[in-house]
Amino acid sequence: MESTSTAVIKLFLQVGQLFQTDNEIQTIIQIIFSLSFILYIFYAQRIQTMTMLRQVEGTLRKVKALRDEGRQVSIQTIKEIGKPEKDPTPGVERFMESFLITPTSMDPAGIVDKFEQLLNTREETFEAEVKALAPAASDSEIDTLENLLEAALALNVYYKVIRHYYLLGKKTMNIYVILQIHMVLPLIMREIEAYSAALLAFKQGMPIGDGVGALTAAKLMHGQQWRRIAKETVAAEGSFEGRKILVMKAEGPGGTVGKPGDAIRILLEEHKDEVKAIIMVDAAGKLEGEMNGEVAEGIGAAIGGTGVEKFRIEEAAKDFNVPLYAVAIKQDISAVVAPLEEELFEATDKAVEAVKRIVNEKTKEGETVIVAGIGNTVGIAQ
Amino acid sequence: MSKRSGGVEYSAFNISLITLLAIALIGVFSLFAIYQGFQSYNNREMEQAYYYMLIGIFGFATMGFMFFRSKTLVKNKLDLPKAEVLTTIECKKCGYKIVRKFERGDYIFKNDIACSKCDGMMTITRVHRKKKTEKELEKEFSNTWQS
Repeated sequence: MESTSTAVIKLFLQVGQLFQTDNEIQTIIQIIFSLSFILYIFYAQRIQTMTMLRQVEGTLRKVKALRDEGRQVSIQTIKEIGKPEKDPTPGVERFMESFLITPTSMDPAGIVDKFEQLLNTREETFEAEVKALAPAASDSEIDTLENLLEAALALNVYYKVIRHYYLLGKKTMNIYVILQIHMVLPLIMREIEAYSAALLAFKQGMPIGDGVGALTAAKLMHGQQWRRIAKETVAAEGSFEGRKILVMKAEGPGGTVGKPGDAIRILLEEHKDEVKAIIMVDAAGKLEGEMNGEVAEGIGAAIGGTGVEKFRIEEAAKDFNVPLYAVAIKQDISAVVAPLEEELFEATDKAVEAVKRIVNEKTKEGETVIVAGIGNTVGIAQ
Repeated sequence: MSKRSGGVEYSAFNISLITLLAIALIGVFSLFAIYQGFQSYNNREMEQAYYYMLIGIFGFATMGFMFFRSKTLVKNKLDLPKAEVLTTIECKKCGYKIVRKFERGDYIFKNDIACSKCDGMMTITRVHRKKKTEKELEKEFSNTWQS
């Protein structure tokens, strides 16, 4: 039985006969032509592996430059705002290498409490570290610097993971190792580009795309007396067409998301049976083809993140038997942590109208509604 | 031609040594093929001259492709986004409105800015990026469509 390669060689030689070999040059070309196909049979996968490695290497260079830029911007901003006596570089580098070990899920009972405790510890540690790095910064500036350092940390993690797969692929020359990173690279790059846009926003303290929920709440509570009800979270009481409206959001203008889970439970406990609806407004990822700034309405807890706050809100809503309504402002992943786009700013007016309509449709006069503006409130006061 | 970064060695930001050697090798062969082509042309061996020229031109085209592909990678190495962010400040008392570039310390609903037209206080009512132009939106759409 003939081997496959012999059969292929014969085939190409037969194809080669189609060309006339009147002179030496034509013979050389024919040999080169046949050889190149024979080589391709044995080395096709290796050539493909090398091409993919080269593409990953190009991306890696770009990510490295962005990671370095993130580190540089963080150090420079800390120096400008925090006026530290010592060089903050070692502190920033330590921050960029920090990590969080999530609790084990082998026995999932009580995992939310464990995760929340870890997240609180992480938050407190980050806050203390940033305070030490930038002693002259105000509380809101510390929140924003924390966000900036977290963006730099994210870029560092992305860089290290891509580098890991690149070097592992280079070491093993195994197409399946390289394929894993090569396949997801375009999607990862979108996230990396979003984080690089975040550097600009957090450096200057600009509002970001994720802040649309907080901005909607801010528009509803602006001019009213507000109070702090949970950590970095504020609430104000207003009225609309005979209904009492309790609006809450993270305390701005620093970069924080607050504790909406705790805040909603506190408001429900304070107003017990009066609350007939909870309306949550948040940014939501749009699908390709959808417009930036589209406003959609639905049911449920509109909140992203680790899931801890979502769990707390759902628990509170269930305990007090209050329905949850959601208003989502659609946006591209590249807009979430980038400086707020005009379309998104204008979408918050549409979200305010949507909230008012839901209040009108779902509640009666004399009843109370909680409106929760979810998201990072950097650059947005109340 | 390679740079050490974070303890890991990989190709430098410009053309790698292997690529450079490959380009040089192709260049030498292409030049030789072109030279042979001219020789054959002078000897009136038109068919041979045609093949030699073809090999030479193909070699130079390959060189160009390899060189410019490396150049593109260098160009793409840093692409930090730039955004023009505008701040709108309004005086509730006299209605005076200013739109200017964003400055550090600006935030929505900041209200401690003295009005230059009356004795009232101005409030920052809007902070956002400039609206995308039709061209930018079109480009974004076509990019999405292609991907």
